[in-house]
Amino acid sequence: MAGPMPFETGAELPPLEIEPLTRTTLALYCGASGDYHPLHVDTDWVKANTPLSDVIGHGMLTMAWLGRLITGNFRTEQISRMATRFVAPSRVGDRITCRGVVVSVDRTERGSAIGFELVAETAEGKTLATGSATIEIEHTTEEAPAA
Amino acid sequence: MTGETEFDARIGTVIQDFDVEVERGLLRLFARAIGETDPIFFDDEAARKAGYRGVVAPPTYLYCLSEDVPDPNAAIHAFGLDPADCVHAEQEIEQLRPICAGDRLHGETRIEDAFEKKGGLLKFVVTATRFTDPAGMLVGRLRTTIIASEAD
Repeated sequence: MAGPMPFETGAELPPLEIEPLTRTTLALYCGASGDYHPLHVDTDWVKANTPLSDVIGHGMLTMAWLGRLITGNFRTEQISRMATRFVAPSRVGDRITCRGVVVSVDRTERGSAIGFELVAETAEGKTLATGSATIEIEHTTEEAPAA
Repeated sequence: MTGETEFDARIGTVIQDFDVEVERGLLRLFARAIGETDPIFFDDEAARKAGYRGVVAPPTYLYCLSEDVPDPNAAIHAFGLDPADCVHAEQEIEQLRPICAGDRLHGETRIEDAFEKKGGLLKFVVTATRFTDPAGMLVGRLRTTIIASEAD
């Protein structure tokens, strides 16, 4: 039989505070992700081609920060699933916090599956993304070696 | 313009079939861009000590691998839509094992769903990507939802 449940519904991960968003970070993410759309990096282009007055951050960068919330607490291979709904784009200067709360704890063949609800929001309380993650925890082996 | 009645006719169509190599330098740049600091995302030796085969890909990197194709907007173009009218609305990522520097993966993206709302003003396109290793084992899956809005 599996051991005791390591998490309880309602338990919160320590919030992850992201450094205020800079153009340098957006430029780095453009190069690293391969998504170098000018909407994320070129203010001149944004002003000339959209109703916006400045660049907006990548939704996938917000999702990557939510991923950091998880990798800061678990091994990457324990994350079996992550899902995100993009609600609003990030802006330069945003101070963003990522939060996660346990919403389900289910027994599996080898241990537990912990379900988290995730949210990324600005210091002003604007939600940028909501999501969920499932973490698999094996009870028999503490730290299973990677494949 | 795609007619309403035939909008879902492309469901099941394969729109990407590609090979990718997971590059160490790009993994490091990606980890730096997203603010990771754990050495397993930067250093092979640290990654091996932690039980991995080499520098580890952060969980959302799989999505970048799906964009490493000649036309990352193939799903949008398949429906005759304009990328400027489209937003990336939802993303789901499943990973069955760690992805590390040097991995060679095969990806296949197909149209999983397509439907319209508000009398065709909003068009939803859902794609599903499967990544397999050279032995044919499934290593990860993506599900991407794109919404096109004519009102934009």
